[in-house]
Amino acid sequence: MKKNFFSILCTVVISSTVVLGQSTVTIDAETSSVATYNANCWSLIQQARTATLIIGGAYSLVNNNTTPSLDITTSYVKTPWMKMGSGNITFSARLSGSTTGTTLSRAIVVSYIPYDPSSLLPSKEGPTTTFYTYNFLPPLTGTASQTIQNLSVPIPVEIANSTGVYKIMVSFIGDGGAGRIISDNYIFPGTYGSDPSNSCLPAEPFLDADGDGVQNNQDMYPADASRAYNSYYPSEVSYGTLAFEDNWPAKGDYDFNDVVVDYRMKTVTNSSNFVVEVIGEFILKASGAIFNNGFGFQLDGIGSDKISGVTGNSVSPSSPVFNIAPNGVESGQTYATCIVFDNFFNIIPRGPDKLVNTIKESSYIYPAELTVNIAFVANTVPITDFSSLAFNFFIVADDTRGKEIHLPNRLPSNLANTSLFGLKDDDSSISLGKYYKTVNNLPWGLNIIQGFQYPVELAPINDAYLYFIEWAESNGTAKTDWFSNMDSGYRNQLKIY
Amino acid sequence: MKNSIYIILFLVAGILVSCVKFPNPDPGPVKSTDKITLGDVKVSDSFTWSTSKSVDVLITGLPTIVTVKSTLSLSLQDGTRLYSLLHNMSQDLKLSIIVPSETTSLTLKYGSMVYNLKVIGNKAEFSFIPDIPEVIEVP
Repeated sequence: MKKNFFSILCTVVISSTVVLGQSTVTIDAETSSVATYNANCWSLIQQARTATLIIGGAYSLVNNNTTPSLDITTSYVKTPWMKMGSGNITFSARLSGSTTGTTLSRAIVVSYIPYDPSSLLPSKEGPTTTFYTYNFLPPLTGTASQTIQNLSVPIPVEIANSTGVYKIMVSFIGDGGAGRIISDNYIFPGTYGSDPSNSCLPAEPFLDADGDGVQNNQDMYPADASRAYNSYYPSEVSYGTLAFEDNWPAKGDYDFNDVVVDYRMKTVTNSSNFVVEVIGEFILKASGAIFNNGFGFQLDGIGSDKISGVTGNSVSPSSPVFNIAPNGVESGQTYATCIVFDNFFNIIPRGPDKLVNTIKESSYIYPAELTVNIAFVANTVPITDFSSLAFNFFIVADDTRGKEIHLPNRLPSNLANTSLFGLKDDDSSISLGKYYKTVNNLPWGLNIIQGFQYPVELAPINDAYLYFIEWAESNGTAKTDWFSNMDSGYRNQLKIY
Repeated sequence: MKNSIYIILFLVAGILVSCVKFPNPDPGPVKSTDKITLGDVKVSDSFTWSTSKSVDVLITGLPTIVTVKSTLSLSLQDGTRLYSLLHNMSQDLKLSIIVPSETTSLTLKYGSMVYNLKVIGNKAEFSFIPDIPEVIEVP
């Protein structure tokens, strides 16, 4: 019975780079492409799979060089790094029998290659030692040459049962003619010792101090088994900016500075790729608002019951606007909703002009920072189900819970007053899936993930950023740097705070 | 003689036309912002008002001889890390990430290997299996 590529006599599931436990390493060309074998750290050089003149199964290997060569590095099958066992390497071979040209010789040469960490070669292969040669006997052409030869090659004593790792190279050489050598059903005693995730170098010792299955040098929390990785939105090193108008459903002055918050969200996951916690960093930069406004975000698609606790936010226990559940999220919400602050001015009191950081002539007030930790119920939300798209930011305007103002086309929460949809300048339509836009599709909120300097008080954003309208009317294809280009033609610095 | 009259008329007409003062000298390019206020702006229903885009990252796994798990991370071209997780090399993976709208490629790192992923539209695809044709007929 033909052995399958993946047939292994004994396999120990490994983590990362440690590979143990196979007593043979095999290749039979059946279940994978040559590319797949090579990606698994085999080296099939000038080798192809063939479905003609097969030795076993549906495919065999054949040397793919059109001109035969006596060089053992021209066409070969080379194993991954292996800890060699003992006994015999076995495989089968035959000639294709081509009668084109004059075939002078065909042979198979078997060699071993030690691992040499000091080698300058990327593969870290040491010098090749040939220990076996099989010369095909005449006839070398015609059907009589196609007889299958079953070869059995003893592993040299110097590498048998070794502690080091070796590769075995089976080379196909010849002189004259166009005939190929077909081979199949290789069995190499020993254990697989390469690491496909590390350029196929030998698997390294697996060091994992916290035992979570992530080795120390890859674990962002090497001493904490409950945490392994950080993912970021918008990025590890930068903050995005959220800028809102608060007069919804009426249009405001479009200075987009009624609530301005910079944010960075860090999602911490464990070694099973479940979300452990989300840590939101929020910098309260400005509020050019008469209203008292709150700010928060819904985790779209994440049930409120998936959250075990919220800390670091600023919501008064006696808030008449927000009702917080024992697990820290807002009560009455299908999806987990975190209120970051219930009133901007509870954190940064209004300045002399009754506003915060929107009038250049007024004194600058240093922004406040909130770091909010949202802990998830263990192993309930896989990171693959938790995209950054889940962060659905909004403000709650004028101490009125239902006056929830989201970024354009983001869904309202359960507690939004949808009876306000369609009033005044709002053109939201649940049936059309249109939310928080005017009839000509203007928004009440912007999310600039690259960060953003907001306009000064009463300066419409298009007076501050001179290509804002061109960008919008082009559907976002023109002047994509409208907010970041510092050229004077792009911005009126007098109208930017 | 007739031909000469035609030629003279043609030249005179040409001179007269060339001497007509152009009534509206080209004012040069006029920015739309000079003419349109925000209240008048016409924006497509489909416009997202976003300086970012969502990209689906689709990764095709490699059937491995043994289980290989290592850290897979995605970064912007400048090296800014966005996403990390433990990935079984033999499994397919689909992720959605949000990147700046001008992003044209991502860096995928798996173990010690680094790959460049082109972002085409809203997709970035990668396979651990190299795309190499390989079945031949024996001559």
